[in-house]
Amino acid sequence: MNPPDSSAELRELCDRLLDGDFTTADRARLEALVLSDAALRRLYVEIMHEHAALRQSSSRLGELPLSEILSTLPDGGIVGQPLRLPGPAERPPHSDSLKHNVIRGSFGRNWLRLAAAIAVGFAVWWFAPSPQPQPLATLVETNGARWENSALPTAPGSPLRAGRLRLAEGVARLTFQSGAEVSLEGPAELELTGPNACFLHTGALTAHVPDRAKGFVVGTTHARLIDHGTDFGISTDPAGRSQVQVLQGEVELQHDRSGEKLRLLTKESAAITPERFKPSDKGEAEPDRYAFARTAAAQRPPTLTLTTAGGTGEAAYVVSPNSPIHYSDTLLLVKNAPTKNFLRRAYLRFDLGPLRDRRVADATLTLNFEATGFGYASLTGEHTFAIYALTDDTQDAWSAENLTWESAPAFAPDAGAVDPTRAVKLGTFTTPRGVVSGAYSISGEALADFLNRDANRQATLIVVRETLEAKNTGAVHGFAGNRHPTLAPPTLRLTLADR
Amino acid sequence: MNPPDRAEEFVFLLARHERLLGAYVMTMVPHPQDADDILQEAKVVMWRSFAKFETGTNFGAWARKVAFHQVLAYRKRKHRDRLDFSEDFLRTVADEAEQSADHLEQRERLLHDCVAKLPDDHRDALQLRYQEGLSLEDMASRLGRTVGALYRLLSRVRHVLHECVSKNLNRPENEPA
Repeated sequence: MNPPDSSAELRELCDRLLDGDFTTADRARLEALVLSDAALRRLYVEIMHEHAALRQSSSRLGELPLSEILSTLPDGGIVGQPLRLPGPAERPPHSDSLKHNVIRGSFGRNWLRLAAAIAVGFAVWWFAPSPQPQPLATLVETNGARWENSALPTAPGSPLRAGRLRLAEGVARLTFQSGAEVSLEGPAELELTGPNACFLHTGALTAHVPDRAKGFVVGTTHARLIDHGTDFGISTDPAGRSQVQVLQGEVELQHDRSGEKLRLLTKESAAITPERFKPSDKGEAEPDRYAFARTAAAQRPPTLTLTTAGGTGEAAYVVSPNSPIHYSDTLLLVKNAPTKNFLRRAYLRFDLGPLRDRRVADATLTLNFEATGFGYASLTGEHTFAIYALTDDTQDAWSAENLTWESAPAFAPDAGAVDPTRAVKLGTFTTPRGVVSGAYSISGEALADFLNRDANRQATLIVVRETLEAKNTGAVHGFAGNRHPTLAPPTLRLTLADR
Repeated sequence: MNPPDRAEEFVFLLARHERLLGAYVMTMVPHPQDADDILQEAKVVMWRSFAKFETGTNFGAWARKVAFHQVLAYRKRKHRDRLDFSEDFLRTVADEAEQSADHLEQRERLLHDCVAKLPDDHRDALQLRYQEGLSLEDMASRLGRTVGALYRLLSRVRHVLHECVSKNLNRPENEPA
């Protein structure tokens, strides 16, 4: 007999194996327990078997157990057509090898057809009494709506399941299962989390909550709003700060960090900061969703905008040898592929002269991407780009005319990297699947520090695509250089520190 | 009954044993993708060598033997991972699963009822983890809870299910007739 606590220990090891960080020490211990004791051996097999059984109830087609398919056939409950395995009539009479092929072919077809027919009904029988996950809300109508990459349908009338809506502009109205009505104002990102609940990542919404939907919850980064039957508005800025205004009725706010609770009645409003609530004394004032931004703007220290087109700035890209086609005069091309040719990376130089002796408190680099027409965007997945800063100042004096793949500063043979002794990584950004245009930025201390430290006041940045494409058919990415007719060149927006 | 067609017989037998066979592989190879690959390979090998299977003998045992060889072959082919179980362990576990095959099949039937009896939030967690295949991190952001809390929840749910099945197994109406 094993002591009772070794079965508890075995359970913990199994938990780590299935959901957590299973280490080599855990593996050794698990093996020792299982090998040493028959009861523990039995327990391990039971636990793993239960895990596997739960998993196999999932809806993936390849895992559909045939038993489930066949067991429904005799009374024809779910599948409309009877199982057609090859009968004697379908067999060619005298050829064994041919017969073999025919049987296998039919077997495959039948199996797939049956599996497909039953997949929907079978998918959830373990966990939910209903055969389909219920939609949480319906998209009722949209006005001037432009959507960004969204996993949810964006056509009016569509049922919406759990997931995120990304509204770039315009207004979208949705009705939750509970009856709560929400108007979302772009730009906004709303996550549907339940039949009477959502999470506002950014943007603004107004809600009308009828009595039957009391208890409607809107989560935000720092607090939850629980409705008690109202009309209210709520907005969240990208920094997670929110404003709430009750137009009619009552809501309750619960702060995540402080645990503070606040009730707001008709015409009352409050701000949610990362630390606490700030009830507003403005009473019936107009809702001011941009109050934070405006306050911040009023106190904002001076800023400076630099581009690669200014002063001794420069922007160029290099191509690996033996890549005879696909150039651009207006775009800087970037690509990473498993081949040796057709690799590209971009070089940017900013003239920091205009900064004079001012220190940079915060900096953002923005690149404006545009489709290059080279490669297929539809074959292009998510791509991550990295920005490196050239720390070796002796290499800053490159020119667009003379730059070549191997002579370029901080050269490394891998197109997704640079020579780590001459450059440091400042940050990365990721473009969504199939997207090859739009503005992408990095910002942060690393960039500001680099600009403050750069001794010769010439800052070279290198843009590489870290994501390696599997084949050579995906898109070549490109962003505007200094000679693009409409898009802004690579731009540094600097917030200057106080003198 | 007419002498069954060979393919029909295979489908029928595989149908009866496939679920248990998948679980059998997972006890030795917990990594889901690897286990799926092995199971697929095993099914192909079984179909190819089905001529050697004697109708009327124990198909489950035969299938497990094929699957066990596929586990070993897969392991040899793949880069050895320091987290992979030792061959000693695999053989011991395979023997145990072989001996408990009927017992495990019985447990699985009871598992269904036990899942149905779970409170809603436990069943929801299972659904996200197993049906939607979410990672704990994704579950945490979906449910607005911490990874640690979900880890403990899943651990508890597993324990509750296991106890529930064991208890029902010992009830007289579940004795084999």
